[in-house]
Amino acid sequence: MTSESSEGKKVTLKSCDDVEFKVEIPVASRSILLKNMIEDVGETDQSIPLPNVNEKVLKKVLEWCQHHVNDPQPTNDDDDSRRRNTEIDDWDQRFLNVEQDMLFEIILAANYLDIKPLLDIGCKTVANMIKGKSPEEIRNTFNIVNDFTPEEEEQIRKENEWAEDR
Amino acid sequence: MSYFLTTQTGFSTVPLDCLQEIFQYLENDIKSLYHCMFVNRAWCRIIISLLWRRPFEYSGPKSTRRYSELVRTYITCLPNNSKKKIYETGYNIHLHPRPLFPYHKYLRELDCEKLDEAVEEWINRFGLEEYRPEDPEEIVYTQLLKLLLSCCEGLWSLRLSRHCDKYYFPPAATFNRIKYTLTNLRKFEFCVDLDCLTERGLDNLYEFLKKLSNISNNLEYINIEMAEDREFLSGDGLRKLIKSQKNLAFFRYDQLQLKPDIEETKEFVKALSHNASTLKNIEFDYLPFNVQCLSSLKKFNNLECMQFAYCYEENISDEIEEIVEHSPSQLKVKKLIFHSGILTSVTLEILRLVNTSVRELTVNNVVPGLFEHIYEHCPNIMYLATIISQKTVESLEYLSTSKIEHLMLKTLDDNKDTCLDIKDFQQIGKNLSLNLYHLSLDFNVSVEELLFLLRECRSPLESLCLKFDDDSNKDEYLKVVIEFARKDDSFKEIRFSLDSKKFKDIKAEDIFSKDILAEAKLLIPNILRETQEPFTRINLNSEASL
Repeated sequence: MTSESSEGKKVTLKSCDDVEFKVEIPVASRSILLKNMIEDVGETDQSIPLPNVNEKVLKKVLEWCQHHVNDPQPTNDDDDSRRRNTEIDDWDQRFLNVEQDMLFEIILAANYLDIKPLLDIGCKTVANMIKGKSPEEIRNTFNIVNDFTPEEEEQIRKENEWAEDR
Repeated sequence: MSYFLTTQTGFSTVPLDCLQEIFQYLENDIKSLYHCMFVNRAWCRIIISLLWRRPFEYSGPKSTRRYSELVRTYITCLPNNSKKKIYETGYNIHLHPRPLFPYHKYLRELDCEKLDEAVEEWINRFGLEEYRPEDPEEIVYTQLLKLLLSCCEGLWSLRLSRHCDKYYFPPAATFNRIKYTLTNLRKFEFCVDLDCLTERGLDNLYEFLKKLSNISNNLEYINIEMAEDREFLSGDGLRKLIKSQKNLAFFRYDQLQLKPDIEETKEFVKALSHNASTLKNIEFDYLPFNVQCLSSLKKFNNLECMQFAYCYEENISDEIEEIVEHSPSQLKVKKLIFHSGILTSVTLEILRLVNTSVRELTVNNVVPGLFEHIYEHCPNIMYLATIISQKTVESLEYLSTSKIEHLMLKTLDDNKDTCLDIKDFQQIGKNLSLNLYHLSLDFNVSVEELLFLLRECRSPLESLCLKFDDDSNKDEYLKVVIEFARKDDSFKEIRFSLDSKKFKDIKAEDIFSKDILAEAKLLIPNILRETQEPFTRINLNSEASL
């Protein structure tokens, strides 16, 4: 929720490649990490360094925060309902229609900045990409190397035979 | 739990906790989970821990023979002394290798009935060579239960349920580490056929229930379906467990016996009153009730929903009634459901006790004086689903000034000739609440009856739901509703249902002629099939899903 007192006030965020973004506090506060920092430090002219997020990704993340600035903050009670469906609303779907590397960087940034709803839709997007694919197709999609030995693979298959797709 | 832990992958930019988040969205998609398991080592480790949380759910039903494969893997996880006991009893297990993962540790939900079925299937498929050994202590079941209850990392849900001819319950209270594995239990179901339990098994079960009441105090859901045992131990143990809770929100109780005992109803309701401030949903099924049982219910001040399904009334003596009358009520319930059963004075007394708190009421049986009682005690009801009969039509007048916005009516049976005549329908129309937006008639009404009802209706109806018998001429009904919609500007929706279930996917185009439907749509934007089942009960088990 946008609070009266913080409306219009801005905070400066600095990406790992030294690019500064002036952002309204309610927008930055979509990130629980930044919200807590802002509350702890109070009003300051100093920029907040974000050593794990580059300019390109931070710009993208802030675009999401701006669009969702008035959404209610998620609560822990939402945990179960979040997992029940893999639906993503249209705007978010378009927002995440990006190169795979960017998608993972957004997930990493959302995780680091503690933006649960953005992390959720990022994870849902990847989950939707996985659905219905064979192991080989998944490896090809995400460029993953198979590091099993044939013996290991065989033993896993045997021990998990009950879950086999048949 | 170190196997594959350190392996790097091509997906390595995503930390493991994010991977776990991703896979949790696939938790109910076992096919995808299974495929992910073979992607690489890092994925495998995470998927295994998810897949083995509720393997009995994923591997059912019994006929697929997956249960026995599940047990085969669990047996490889047993400690050597357990394996030795099973081997010495005569089962064929010595060839199993050590497993790659400690599969038992990941278990979060255990249903003992499914474990029992799985063990039985394993014995018949893999466990026996030539003969069936004497096994009164059910050694495979016992050793596996011991493994799962002692060595998992913490159960969320436990269902004790068995229905075989004669069986044994192991001394689970003495299993190691049980106080750690059951501390965070959130869901507990007790659906045990106690008549078939051996004497030692009953003692062990009682000890286990006592132990649970010491260690599992964070249950959110308790479901009890049982007939009391000959020693009255299980009821006592369960009531101790109920009283020991701090966060109990959902409770369901069903006395599974031929001659249910009202004293047990009373005792359980009394035990339950220890959780009066945390409870949100209560359901009583097939229980005898009387007004005296309600005494303890008066303390529940935070209920979302209270349901009585197939409950019935037993008489009480006059002096007890007097005591009840004078005790003040704090009972607060938003939604009350009386589903079938034959509660009458209990229904009325509960309505008096819940007073202004109740917003939604379903009474799926005939209760004389119901509407008058609603008028006197429950002025805030906005949703009412109930039975209407010739005897109660007149008293509908009590509701004409009520706040009811949504009214659903049905007759006791669908034979309209014995229930309501044309005058009754006029009466219904005349007495509908002036706040009523949605009217649903969940019984077959003739065109003429509908016409008379709607002609008298002064409510600002927005929506009307009708039930058609399969052979009726639906166009005639639509003409009547069109006539009504011409007078009522706010009217915008017709929903319809059909008697026959075989037409469940039917559309408006399938039952109305093209011309009349086109004419209707000019006035009524939504003409669609009713998708909600009327007079439904709330399923507490799914409401309380973890």
